[in-house]
Amino acid sequence: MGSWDCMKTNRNRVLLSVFLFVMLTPPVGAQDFSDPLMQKLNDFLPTYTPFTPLESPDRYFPDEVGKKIADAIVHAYLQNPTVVEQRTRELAEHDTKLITAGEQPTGLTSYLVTLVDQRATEADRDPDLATASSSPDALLQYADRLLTDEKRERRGRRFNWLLSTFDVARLFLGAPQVPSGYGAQGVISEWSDGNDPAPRERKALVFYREFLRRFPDDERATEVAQKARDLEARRKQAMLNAELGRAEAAFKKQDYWGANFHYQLALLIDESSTPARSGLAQVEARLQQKDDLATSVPRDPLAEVKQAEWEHDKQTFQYLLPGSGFVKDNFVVAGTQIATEGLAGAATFGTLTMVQTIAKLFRLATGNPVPRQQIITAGEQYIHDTPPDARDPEIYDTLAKSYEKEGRLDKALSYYQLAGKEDAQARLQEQAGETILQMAKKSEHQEQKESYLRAVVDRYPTTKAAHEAAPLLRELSLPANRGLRLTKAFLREHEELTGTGGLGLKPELFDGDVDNVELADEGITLIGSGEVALQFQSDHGPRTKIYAISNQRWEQFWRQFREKGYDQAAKRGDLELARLAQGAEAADQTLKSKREKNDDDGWRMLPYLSGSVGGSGVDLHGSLPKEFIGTRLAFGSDQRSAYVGMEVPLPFIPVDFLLLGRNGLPSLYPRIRLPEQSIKDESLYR
Amino acid sequence: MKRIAVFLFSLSSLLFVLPGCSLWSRSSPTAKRPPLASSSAKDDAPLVTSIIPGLGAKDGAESNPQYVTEADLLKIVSELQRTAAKDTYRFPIPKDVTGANIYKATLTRLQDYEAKHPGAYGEILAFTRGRAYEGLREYEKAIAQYQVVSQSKHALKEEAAKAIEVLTHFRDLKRAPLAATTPLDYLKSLDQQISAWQELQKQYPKTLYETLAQEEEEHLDQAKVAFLVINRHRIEDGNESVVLAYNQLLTKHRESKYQYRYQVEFGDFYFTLAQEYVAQNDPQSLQFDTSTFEAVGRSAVRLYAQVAQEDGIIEKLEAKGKLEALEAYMAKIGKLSR
Repeated sequence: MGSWDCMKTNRNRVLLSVFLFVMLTPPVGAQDFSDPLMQKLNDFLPTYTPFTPLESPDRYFPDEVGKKIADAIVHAYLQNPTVVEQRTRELAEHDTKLITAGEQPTGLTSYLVTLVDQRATEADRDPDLATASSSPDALLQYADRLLTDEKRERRGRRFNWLLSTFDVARLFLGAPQVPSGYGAQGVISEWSDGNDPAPRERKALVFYREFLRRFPDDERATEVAQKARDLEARRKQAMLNAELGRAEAAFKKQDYWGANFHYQLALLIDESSTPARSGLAQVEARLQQKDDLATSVPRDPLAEVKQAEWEHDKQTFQYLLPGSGFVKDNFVVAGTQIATEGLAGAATFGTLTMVQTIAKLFRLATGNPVPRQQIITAGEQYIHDTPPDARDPEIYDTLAKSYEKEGRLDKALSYYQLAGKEDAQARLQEQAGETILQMAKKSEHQEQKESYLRAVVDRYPTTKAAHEAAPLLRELSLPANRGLRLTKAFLREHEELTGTGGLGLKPELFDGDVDNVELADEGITLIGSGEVALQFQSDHGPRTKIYAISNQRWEQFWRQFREKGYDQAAKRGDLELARLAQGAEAADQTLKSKREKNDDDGWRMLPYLSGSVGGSGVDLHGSLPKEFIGTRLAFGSDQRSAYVGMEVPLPFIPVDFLLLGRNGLPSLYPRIRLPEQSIKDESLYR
Repeated sequence: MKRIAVFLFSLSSLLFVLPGCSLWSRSSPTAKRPPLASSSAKDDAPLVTSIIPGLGAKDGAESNPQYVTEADLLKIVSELQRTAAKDTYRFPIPKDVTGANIYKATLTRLQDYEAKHPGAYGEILAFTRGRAYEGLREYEKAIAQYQVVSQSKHALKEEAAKAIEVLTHFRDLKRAPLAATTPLDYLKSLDQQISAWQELQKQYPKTLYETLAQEEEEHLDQAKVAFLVINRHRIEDGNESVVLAYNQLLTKHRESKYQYRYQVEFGDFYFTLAQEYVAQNDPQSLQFDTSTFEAVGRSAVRLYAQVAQEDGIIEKLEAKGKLEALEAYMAKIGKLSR
């Protein structure tokens, strides 16, 4: 047995040595030979230089067009817009003549137009700021329009529900339809929201205030002040209600300090608020009471944890069953369903509720829909308050499971260790290693990728993920993989970067002819130290060579890069290159061409669809890309039949039609077009 | 499913027939067109080319290589001119299309322009640079650039000379030393400079220079508060002086873009006072006075809440976070003190 063990140990050692040798041997492309002869024999393209000779730019002398442009700029600085306009007209005429003569126009007129029409440009860039700085009429008009839009949207949503009964096609066939219960769901929810000002109304209030601040003597000031007061009163009431709600919720949870804080905030909003004052008095009384109880009744140290677990179980149960909001909203749905379809409608409603519950059960089993933060807080408090010897060992297991569910695997691991659960530890280590490895693979930045891979290798060295991460880490440390990488396709797309005004790479590197040296698809990598790594095509795959770049070329490249970044931002709103050029983002990623990006995430070009595909049917709805039509579409099958629907916008009238095909019969519903520009609450922070 | 596919196909065919439906996008207010693009012919090209890879035209294909020098210059100047009349006292320094500070970005772009087109439009470049430097309140550098123009025969010569005259006052005032040996002298000296900037504002009403002078005045008012905050333990009634200075700053600069930042900082000061009170008086001891602690804490709450309840400002998020932190701190101390 002893010799068998010894042989087994030796074999393991040999295997380990072979593994380490394979892992640590650098690839052919990066071999560094200590023998100069071997170095010379293995050197790839030893005498080849990929650069064209440097060219110094010619000194510039403007022609007549150049002089007119300079004159226009001077008058723009001297604030003579009429002269700038005159020069623009002259240049436009000159361009027309050139086009008539079959020559290329100057291409400068559009830039001069931009110089003339600065106000329109500014309104394009930041419409809110432009409105705030505009005339009193424009300011009021905009604020009033926001209020009108909000009213129109509220009424429109209600009318649309009624209009959903008006099926033009069915009406012609003599079979009008009943109102849809599902359409009412949103309307009922909205009515229950009360009188809170919507984001659009709050934005209008900001503009009314701006009007009053800038034009206090305007004859409409009194009327505007009244509107602002009304809106402000509603806003204050909404804030007061929110604070009182938070205070009451905290009070119910016996968080008296939290309740005290929110009642104080409510008083800051409205000093005369009676509920806030009485709430504060109640809090004060309870604080006294609680202190007395706390000192007199001995408490189980684990009670808080058990209470938190009980609360979590209750919340899970509530999550599984339809909550109060669900019942309120669906009462109308179920009622309409039964009224229109009889008992069959009730059965449909019941089936739908069942489907929802099953889906929730699935989410409960696979995810963490009900957070366990309360258990963690109570458990950590217990750990903090109780000496190690006095702790109930069950707490470690409870905390480990809670942290695992919350996705905080490092904490879960340490608690499993304290609980002595080795199998759980091993399982979790594999899971954690795999999660970090996937994060590394998804990461675009090399530094971030490296830190993830290093974390896998250092923290979970025995896992499968660590074995996979080690070679990736080694590959990442090669010079060609460090710095800003630009693929060949990207360089072809932006040839200014490699041309004589940029890096000055020879055009033959991009001509597809391997005989005159060709760049591999991996392209080039700009290494921070003023060097560039070129990946050449070879019989043995891509071979890397590193070349030093002169300061002039380095600066030329970055100049072109900045210009490219600016142009892309101006023309397409794409800030990727600009952010890299400004140093706002680490320049250690791979820049790919449009086609390569499409290959990576081409599915994004498909219409965004959501819904479900199951064994019993399909239910999908979404919007087509706005580049095509931007309209909404849906298809699938519901409790009634299969259907296909599409929103059909009509020009000149504020009504869209919803074209719906069901059982081979088309239906056409009119629908009031709601204001397109929806304002989210976050936009009010800007 | 087959029926669905057939119907979907017939629907898409219908799209070509129905009025109001086309393969081009509907106007969407959320998708803003960048200004330079709005005037470019390229953007009127079908959008299909931009989403089918390989069909899109190459960048700059419509520009005439003969006039690249002028096109590059016009891009820089129009971007800067867009912001020429901006009130940088009330609003932050505008950003260019890439989201960078317009003045800093212009300086970088001018440097790149000079290297790319050496010798082209030197005086216009110097004048533009002068404008960018004065926007950054770098008066000395702006004067140096305007001098290049004023000493030439260029059409902007007189405008540059005027700018030099104004900016020389600005530079001299900014350079004036604060001769003081005591804190009180230092504050007096600051007040004198503040009055001098106010005088300059009156001299150049409704111009960019009035705004610049306002910013300089505000900068000194901020310096006064900062001086008092740093030295409050050395000055008699230091804390009261800081409170007074913050109140003055808030009242005086109601229109400033930093108004909400000052409120949050004032709240921070009260928060610090509360923490200092706790450090000096153990909440579990008898000397701890809950009402004193709560009064200071409530002042911080009031200031944070004012900002947190405001719409249309980015500081709202910061104030909300600080309010939560203060809530937790006051609850902790409250529990300890009972």
